[in-house]
Amino acid sequence: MSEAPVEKSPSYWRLVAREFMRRKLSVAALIGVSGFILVALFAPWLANDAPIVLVRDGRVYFPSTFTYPELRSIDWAYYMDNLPEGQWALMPPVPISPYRDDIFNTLRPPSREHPMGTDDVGRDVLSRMIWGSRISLSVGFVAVGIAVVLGVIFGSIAGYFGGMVDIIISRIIEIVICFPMFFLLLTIIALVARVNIYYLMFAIGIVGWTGVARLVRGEFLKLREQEFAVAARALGAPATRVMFRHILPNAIAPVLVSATFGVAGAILTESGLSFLGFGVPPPTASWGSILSLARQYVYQAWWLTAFPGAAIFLSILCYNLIGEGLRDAVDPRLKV
Amino acid sequence: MSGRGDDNHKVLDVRGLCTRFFTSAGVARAVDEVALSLQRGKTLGLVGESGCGKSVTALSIMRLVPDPPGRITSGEILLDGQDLASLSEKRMREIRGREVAMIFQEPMTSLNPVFTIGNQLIEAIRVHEDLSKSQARRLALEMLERVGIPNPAERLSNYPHQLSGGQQQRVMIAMAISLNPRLLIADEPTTALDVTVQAQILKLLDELRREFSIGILFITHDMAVIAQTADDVAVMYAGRIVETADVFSLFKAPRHPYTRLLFESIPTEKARGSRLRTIKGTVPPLTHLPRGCNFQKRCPLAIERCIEEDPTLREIAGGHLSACHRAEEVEELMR
Amino acid sequence: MTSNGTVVEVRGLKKHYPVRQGVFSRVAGSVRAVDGVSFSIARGRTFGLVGESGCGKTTCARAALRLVEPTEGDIFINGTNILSLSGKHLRRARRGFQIIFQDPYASLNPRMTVGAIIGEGLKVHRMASRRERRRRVTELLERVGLSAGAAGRYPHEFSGGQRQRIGIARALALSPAFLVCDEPVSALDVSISAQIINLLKDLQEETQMSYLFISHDLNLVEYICDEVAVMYLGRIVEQAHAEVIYERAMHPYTRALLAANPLPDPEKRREKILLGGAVPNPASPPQGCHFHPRCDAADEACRLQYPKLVEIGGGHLVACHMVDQKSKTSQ
Repeated sequence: MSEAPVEKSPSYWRLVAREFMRRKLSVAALIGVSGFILVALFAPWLANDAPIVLVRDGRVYFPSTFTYPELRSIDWAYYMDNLPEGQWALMPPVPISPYRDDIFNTLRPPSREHPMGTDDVGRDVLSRMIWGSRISLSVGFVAVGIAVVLGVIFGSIAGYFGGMVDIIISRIIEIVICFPMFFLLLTIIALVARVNIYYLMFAIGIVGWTGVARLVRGEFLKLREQEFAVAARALGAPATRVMFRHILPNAIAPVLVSATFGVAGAILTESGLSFLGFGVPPPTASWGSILSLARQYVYQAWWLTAFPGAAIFLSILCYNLIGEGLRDAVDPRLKV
Repeated sequence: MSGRGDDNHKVLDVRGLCTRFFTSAGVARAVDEVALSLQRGKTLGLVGESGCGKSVTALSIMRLVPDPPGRITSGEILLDGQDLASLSEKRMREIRGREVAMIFQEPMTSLNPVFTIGNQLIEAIRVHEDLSKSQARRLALEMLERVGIPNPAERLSNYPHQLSGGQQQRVMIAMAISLNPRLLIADEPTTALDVTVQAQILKLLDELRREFSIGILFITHDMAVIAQTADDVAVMYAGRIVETADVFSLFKAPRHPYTRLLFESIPTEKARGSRLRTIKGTVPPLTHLPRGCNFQKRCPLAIERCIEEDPTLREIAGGHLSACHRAEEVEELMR
Repeated sequence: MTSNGTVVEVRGLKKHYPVRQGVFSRVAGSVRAVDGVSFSIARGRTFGLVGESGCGKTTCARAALRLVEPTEGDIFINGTNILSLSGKHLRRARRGFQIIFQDPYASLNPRMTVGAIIGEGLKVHRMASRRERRRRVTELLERVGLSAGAAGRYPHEFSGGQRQRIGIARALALSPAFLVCDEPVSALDVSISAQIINLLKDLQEETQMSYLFISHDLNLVEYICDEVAVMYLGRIVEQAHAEVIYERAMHPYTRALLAANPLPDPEKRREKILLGGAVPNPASPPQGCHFHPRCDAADEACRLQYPKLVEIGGGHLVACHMVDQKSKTSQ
């Protein structure tokens, strides 16, 4: 019997992944979100004035021509129109920077040149959409990341130790929850002189941690008394080990689910703030800010509303579908 | 109420009942060719370990097997001669609660926590009987008093959580017998209770059985409880009845190796100082039962024939049935 | 270990839970879950604690291991008062006393492999290198009747009986002198529970561990224990050698418990001395003897004063005014 090799069986997360993969809609959403993430990551190579590859004076500039110091000062729009003899360049699929305006081509409907039309100062909407996805997605991830980290720390401390610590943390959570989230955000933004995207992420994260903290606290309260946690204490394991090796891995699944929904919420919040004009300052593009602009041209320029609106809708739908799939996949009735 | 006057009348006669679960892992033979018969005013104990199919048998009789994945594939369930297996769902709904009632292990889960006891009792009565609210209330009070609940009038306005486990089970019993059913199915009714409360509930069930001439199908895993309550016993293993007899001859001389081993694995003062007999291995999955006898792989008496041929339930002595090829030798070989 | 072979000695153990009320969580009273329990267990012996749900037997066991902090009392294990230890010292001392649980589903971390679960104690106490740990886990798995291949699997792949074996192996890893068995077989089927009971008996024979065996099953306690204590509402009401309890129980509660206990023999179907009512709410136990409202023999004294646990000979302890009076008059 001792000769029997140690058989490895699938871990919990492997089983969750397997279960998740059974849900076609959620898998489609995951592919969709991956698409959005890829677009955001590769925005500089997807929509730019600058070429991806430039061969100049026998030297190859690749992959990011915009990072070379000697090319910094070049006005790419002009440069590419008058590409000197002997030089060769490969342009991105959308060869227009999100900031290049064109007063002769304002509010143009979608065309070959501008597949999503142009805005009120003639900037290409598609290019701005591509760059805007960076803001929307990074706000989502970073804000939720902050919320999850804070929430897990405070929630686990409150839930594990209980007593006075729990009372204090719980009251803080309740106080934060009492404020309507959106107005709290507006207040935080009003307090800082110059809004930038990092403040936004930070603000959304700071406001959003309470939900995670309550969830984690509840899980810890429940799991702390579970016999496997008691058994770990009986073995002489220190509190940190019981908390992080035994309880947290069992509490993390619902947090992950709520974080996924949280990303959707953060994207919506950012869009909402930008729509109201409290978001990222111009000329930075975000889906919300394009939509905000669209307000003034609702009747003239449908494309300003339709494309960012659809992007927000689709990304949120995808995150929610992933969240739902995940929630079903980590369901305790899975018997693992 | 045809046939109720006859004392030897069979309230319940189950013949060749098969219930299958169609799962991704295969077809599970949860109940396989089960035959049971219960006389009026008697208690039939159905014993077996978890997963042997005893609860599914009860659900099949009530026609409450979740479908899908489960389905009664064949067999007759005769309640006073009427075959429940072939009734329409509508007709079945009239029979449930009215003619066949059921009580469960966890009374708390069968009582709705947001309604008062009275509300639920009165509703349950009025679903089946054309009574006014006050008449139903009077009946409910009477029943609560009968099952030994102190201050029944006060209890009517209590919520389930305000009652102890034993009292909740009493309320369930009151609800079950209020419509004077012919058959009461009790699925592990005392497993969640303390032994002193268990003794009270068992006594109550026994009294009610005599008083109302109800046939009780008593399902449990506890041999000791069966020994104390049942008139006849059917032992179930892996979806089948392996042995059935009156309680005295079953406990005195079990004719199936499984029953025998079950008895010997119970710790008692008699066994003190000696090791307990155990059954090697585990119950085979109901989706992949072995060829031949279901118990063959764990049986100390298994011979070639047990692997080849599926034993059927046959009479060994007067009214004592066993599904074992070597039933006659069990007594001698397993000393 | 002290000279007389006593491994565990618990004296006057109390665990009171405060009952909080209102917005400011004022302490309004207390639930005396365990209220002055004393016992001792010799090396290689089994001490049984029986009682109905809510009698405090589980709390008592956990307090004896300091898994819940006792309110009062002394607990000597191998001669050390573990209540005087704290922090690191207590954690180190835990090697000497372990516990196995009732629920084989809840007591194993579902996210850890069986190997990690069993090896955890060795890891926490740095008692073995990784290599030795693996060897020891294999050894333990085989000792409890599982194959070595089980180490890489997760708990959910095992049946209830197998999980209980894993829990036993985890406790054994630290070679404790004292093992608390908290209803170790009540969630298992009869045939499986017999296997586990046999395993526990074999292990005790091999290692001379002392067991504190908690159960509501009188038949089982009678079979496995040397000494038995019956608990009612946080206190021991009767304590004696197992045979004595079953043959000459003196306390009316013990008698009622025994009478209510079904025997697996239809010939012994007796008309029961039925105990009325149920266990009262431990937050407000009756005045005087906690058992008097359910006791037929109760008189004035029982309503006024809680009876002392007194020895009536041969190590047989009873807490009952009636028994006390009888033994006094007979002397």
